[in-house]
Amino acid sequence: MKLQCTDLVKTYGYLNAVDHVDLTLEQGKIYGLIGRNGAGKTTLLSLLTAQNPATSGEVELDGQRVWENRSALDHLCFSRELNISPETGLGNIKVKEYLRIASVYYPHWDAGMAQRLVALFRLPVKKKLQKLSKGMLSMVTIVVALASKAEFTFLDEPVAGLDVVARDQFYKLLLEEYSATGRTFVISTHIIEEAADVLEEVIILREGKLLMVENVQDLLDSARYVSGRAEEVDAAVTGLEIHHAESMGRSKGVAVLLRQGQAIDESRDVTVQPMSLQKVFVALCGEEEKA
Amino acid sequence: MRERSFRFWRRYALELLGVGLGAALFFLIISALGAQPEALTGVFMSVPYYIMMGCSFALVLCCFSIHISYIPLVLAMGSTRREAFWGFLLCRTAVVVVAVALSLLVWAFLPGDVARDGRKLLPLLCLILLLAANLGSLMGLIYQKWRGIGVALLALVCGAVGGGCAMLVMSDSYSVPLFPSRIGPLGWWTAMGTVLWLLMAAADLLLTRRSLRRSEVKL
Repeated sequence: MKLQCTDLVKTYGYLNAVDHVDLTLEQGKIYGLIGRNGAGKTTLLSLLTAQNPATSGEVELDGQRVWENRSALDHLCFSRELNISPETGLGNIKVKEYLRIASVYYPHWDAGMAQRLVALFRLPVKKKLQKLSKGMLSMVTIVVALASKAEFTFLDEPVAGLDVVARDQFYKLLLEEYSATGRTFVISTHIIEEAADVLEEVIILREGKLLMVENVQDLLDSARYVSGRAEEVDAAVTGLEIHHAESMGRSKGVAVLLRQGQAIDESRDVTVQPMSLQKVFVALCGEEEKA
Repeated sequence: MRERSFRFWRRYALELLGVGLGAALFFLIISALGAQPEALTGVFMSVPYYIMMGCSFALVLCCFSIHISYIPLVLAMGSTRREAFWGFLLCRTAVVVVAVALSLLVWAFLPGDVARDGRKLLPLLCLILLLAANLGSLMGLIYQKWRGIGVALLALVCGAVGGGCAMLVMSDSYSVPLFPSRIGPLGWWTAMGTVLWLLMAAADLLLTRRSLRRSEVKL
């Protein structure tokens, strides 16, 4: 089973929130969707799950259009970040009512798992959503996502507001569920370092455009930070794909992505260091200082 | 409509009906408490009017809030827009049908002029319920586009309907059973009500479909 979008565009006025995105999500992987604020992450997830109409382009699950297609939607779950505002009226719904509605709509809903997670997170099910803290709202979305048992499950900022213990619990639960079922998870997050260990593939969005879809390990293997005297660094990375150059006096540091067969000239007087996923992301999406 | 979507909307219809009948019971109790002993029979024979008042109130409020809370919620849970549209329609129709059936049931078994007049009035009561549902839904759509106007309209309509109900219930225990004789020619009211309902229903259904096709889920 695979979920595919082709030439997907979502426009708000003159702004292309999602800009001609082609993406294929395969079953049995954990994808991380990362991008800066306003990069189009939530919009992309909304389009992939037919929660928002696209301006143009197609989303298909195994060749079947997802839009208004009940049989395709049965395989998808987008547990969105809950932002309770007085205008929506959603705040008056109790946690147990929210979970009951989810249990009605998701065909493979695991009621036992939902109960276990509610107990684990100590969610007050009789409370209204508007009475919950940010972290507890995130827990509600995690319960829905995991208990939905949907083959393709999308989580939008699932760890927002969670304390470090709860975040750790979430990643453990995610890995357990992934190992047991082989479901596909797409997680959008800003806390990249913590998520990096569980992600298999990373999808990077920049200003609505798909910048990269890459295996996390391959990406980390190819990313290097080269620093030293400016002229030595320049000589060492000649001909390589350079991102995010920084200069401090006569010193310089550059992030490079090595393609197959490429290597840094280490005979030069430079320091070469591996990069974390967060550093790679900053190098790719941060403001670039032209050397 | 798939079974799961049907289950959700059936439950919501039951909740809506519960709100309507609860309000009707409240009106009935207030009327009965304020009535003189000899007027109590008239109060109880007027139960269908209270059902109509309570259900109209519930339909206005719930059809308004369905656009704001429940439709985005079910879309977020993976419902199709088609299912949401038909579910919403089914839900409010069920409330109207049950309210009218209950009224008919009460008046069918009661003797006397109040029940006879009431039976003649049923089509008009049915129209009032349908209009209440359309009105609530249209206000919900207006709220989505222009929040301030939507709130002002809701306050105005609820104030007018609530105030009217309160005046009717509190003023005089003999008033409600005499309602049919006070409104004038029934045929004229029914004809006007039908025309108004057709116009509002057309606007409501078209705008709801349009809104659903374009709507974006924001929770």
